[in-house]
Amino acid sequence: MHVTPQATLHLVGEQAVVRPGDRVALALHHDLAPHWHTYWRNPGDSGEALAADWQLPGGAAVSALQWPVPERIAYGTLVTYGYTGAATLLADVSVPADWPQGAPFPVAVEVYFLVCADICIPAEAALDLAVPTGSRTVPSAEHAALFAAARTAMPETGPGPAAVAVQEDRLRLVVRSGKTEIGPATGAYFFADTWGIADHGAAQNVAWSGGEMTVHVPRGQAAPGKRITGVLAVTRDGEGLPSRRGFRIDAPVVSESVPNP
Amino acid sequence: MRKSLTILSLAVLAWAGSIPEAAAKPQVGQPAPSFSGRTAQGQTLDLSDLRGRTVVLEWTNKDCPFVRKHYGTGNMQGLQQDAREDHGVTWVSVISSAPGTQGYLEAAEALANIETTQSHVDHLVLDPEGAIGRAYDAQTTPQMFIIDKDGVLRFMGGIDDKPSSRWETVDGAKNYVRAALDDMAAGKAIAEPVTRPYGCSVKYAN
Repeated sequence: MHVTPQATLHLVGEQAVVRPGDRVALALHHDLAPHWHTYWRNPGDSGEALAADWQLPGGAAVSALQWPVPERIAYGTLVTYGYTGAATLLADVSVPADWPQGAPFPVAVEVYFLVCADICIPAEAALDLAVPTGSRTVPSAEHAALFAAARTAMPETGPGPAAVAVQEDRLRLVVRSGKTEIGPATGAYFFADTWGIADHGAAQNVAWSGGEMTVHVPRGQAAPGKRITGVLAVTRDGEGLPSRRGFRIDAPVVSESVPNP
Repeated sequence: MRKSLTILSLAVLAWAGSIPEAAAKPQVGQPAPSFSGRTAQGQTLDLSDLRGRTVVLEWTNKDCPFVRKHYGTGNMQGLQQDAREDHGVTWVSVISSAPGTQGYLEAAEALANIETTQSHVDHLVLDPEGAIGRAYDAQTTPQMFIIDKDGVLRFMGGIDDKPSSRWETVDGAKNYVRAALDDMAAGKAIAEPVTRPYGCSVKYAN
């Protein structure tokens, strides 16, 4: 555990015991003091995404970090993408098949992250976890709730086919809902994975009609390229529904210079 | 019917006329936004006074972790020195932090900070009301602009390709400002004239 006045950071594993050859799910969880925030993979207009440098015994592979659905955080006219309150990032590590059963598997990570309010304070943490290994993989009850909440906060698979048309000053993202209804929605916002694809501070116009959601994303200074990826956060009112869901978007750019309708 | 349409048109025109125009954002290839500012030395600096030499504008906030990366490693001071000695640049640092916010400095403190950090600047402009920052749409510290001898904006954005506050990212970073000055000296078009600005948000007055 790493503690500063602004943030506490924990590294925990989902499994109580891991059989060599299986994966252990890891959570990097941070709690933030009120008014402080950290950043998403694309931090937006300023700031810096959390960086994790894993140290594992040779032969062990770690997945990319999985990021929960971010929020928009405004400072004057600037908008950044990140987290307030708390956030849990996930990663999977494969324990090599030839790791001796019974020998603890050492996971270490160096985390560098920026915690900001009106000022920014860099934080560096060295965390480690000795994962017990054995003949069977056994889930841990201790952290089950943390991992369940973390997975709920992750973006879900995209709700249906998506495509982007590039216009002179905006991107038109069209998403068809397939089996999962994404509308009608009270609000939606598209977080582009890559800095500068969108104007992070600009409002996005959203329309829902006949199973299709259209989001007009004002462009930023980066060229869109051939594919646009990111997270579409959809807010809905309704009984029994989560108030906010995020969907992974991976959309080809299908046409250029379509005139504004 | 016609009478009410006329009234409606007049109302629309009146409404349209009262909306203030948003300031145009700076554009590479266009004249750089003009400004007149007070320096830490107590003088008035007009951008037009600097015609005839290449000008680099550097937005700064001495306590921002990203600025500390560049100054703590000597990276910014080295760039300032090279720009001034090799390219005849007039280097202008700008502080747009509002009073009471991070980075705000009184004139004497600002001059002392230049000494402490061994910076090589020609002018340090104090812009606590943020007018110059807003004219340039400066979003982060650091953020860099290059204006050529004729007052045309040639480069704007982040100083290099490592948008991190970690000090070790200075090593091996591609310095866009240095590359742009080299391109200009060689008479070539600047390869990357608009780059991603990164850093802390500029602490504008509200």
